[in-house]
Amino acid sequence: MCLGIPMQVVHGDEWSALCLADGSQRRVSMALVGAQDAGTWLLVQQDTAREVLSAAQAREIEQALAGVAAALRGETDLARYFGDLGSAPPRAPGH
Amino acid sequence: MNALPAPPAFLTLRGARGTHLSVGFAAPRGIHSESWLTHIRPAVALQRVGLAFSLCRVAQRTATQLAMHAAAAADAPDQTALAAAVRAEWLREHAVNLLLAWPRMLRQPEEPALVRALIGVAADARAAPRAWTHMLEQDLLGMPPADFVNLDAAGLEAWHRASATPLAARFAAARRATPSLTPQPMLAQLSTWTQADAHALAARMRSDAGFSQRPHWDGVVSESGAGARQFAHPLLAAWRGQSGNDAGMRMLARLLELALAAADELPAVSMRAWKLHAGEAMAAVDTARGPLLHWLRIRAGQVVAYRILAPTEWNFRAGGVLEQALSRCDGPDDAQARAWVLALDPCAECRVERSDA
Repeated sequence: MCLGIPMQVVHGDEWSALCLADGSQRRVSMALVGAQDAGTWLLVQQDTAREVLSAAQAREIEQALAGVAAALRGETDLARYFGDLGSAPPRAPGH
Repeated sequence: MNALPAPPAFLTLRGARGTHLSVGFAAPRGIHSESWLTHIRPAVALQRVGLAFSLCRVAQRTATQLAMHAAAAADAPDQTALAAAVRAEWLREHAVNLLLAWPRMLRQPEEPALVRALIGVAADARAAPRAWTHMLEQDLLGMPPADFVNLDAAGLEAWHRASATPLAARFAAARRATPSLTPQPMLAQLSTWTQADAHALAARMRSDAGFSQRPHWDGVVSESGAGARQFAHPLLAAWRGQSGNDAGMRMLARLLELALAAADELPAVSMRAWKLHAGEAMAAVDTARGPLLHWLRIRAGQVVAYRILAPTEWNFRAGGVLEQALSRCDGPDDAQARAWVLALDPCAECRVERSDA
């Protein structure tokens, strides 16, 4: 599956942080990324922040996951979710 | 606090108290099928794969690129660079499992600084394996990696007794902590797959939309991951002699692969692709959890069919190794079930649910 969800730091320390996504909060381990300022975007999997994202990267991933969900609902026009850029290089977030 | 946000995919183990747990993999099934990766140009599909699979994006994008190249829809990727990146992703997942997830499950101190350092070194091919060797010797093994990978049964026993690092102590405590399984088939090493093997798998992916959730090897439900890859290694045989075919053996396989990398004895990552018919191809990339398969068909410059088989599915499918393991777990708590889940390391969120019925 390898899916992570972007979440935004509300507050926390180097060990854990309360993070927000889609209006809901959950506690996330910060072991891999260290302490981060409130408002920082993180890629989270299994309650662990795996990497720090820019706001643009977080939005791209959010939209991509929304696009997958839309496809599962039967939608066919998915370009608006994925920000398909023709033949331009993908703008996947880097490590 | 508001309701927790639903993870995009999760695994649920359900069972009434006092009964065996069953496996329910509540992943969004369609993510493996074609709907969001079809009727678009190959370059756009590659972009979408990288965005949706944000955690193992290197392996996922590599599989896409290899399959597209085999289908004559893309230029040849730089396989050397991709293999190094996939390997870094692979070692990262092992480090996270052993040094974060495992102590967290046991409520022991996590080792974040060590994990970050390991991940940093894994991402720098020039620094490895020398830096790996130093860190593994000092912080994980308490002995040179080249010695660790050659331990016999007596040496493994002495390593347990010494418990020179927190990780070694966890392994010593893990012996006989979960039931031993009767031997089950292990998935063949990707590097050994024949043309016929690949075509048979591709035929199933093409004709059966559900194959990605119920994978089998020529009718045989098989285990994937580090435990399968390293099952025949003498170190794992020594573990089985002491503790059985248990969850700890799968954890040790992960540590063995880190040590083999440090000792420069870990084979290059297998990445293979097969052209099946005109415009149709399949690619396989070996990841920490086992082979990742992408199958696709391209017509007139458009992707018209796309299916993905994630490595997690081999172990967590109905009738797979996790289900076999859970059928042998007993006791009032779920510690054994959690240990098995950790050992098999799904790439999805996992919950253990107990009813009071």
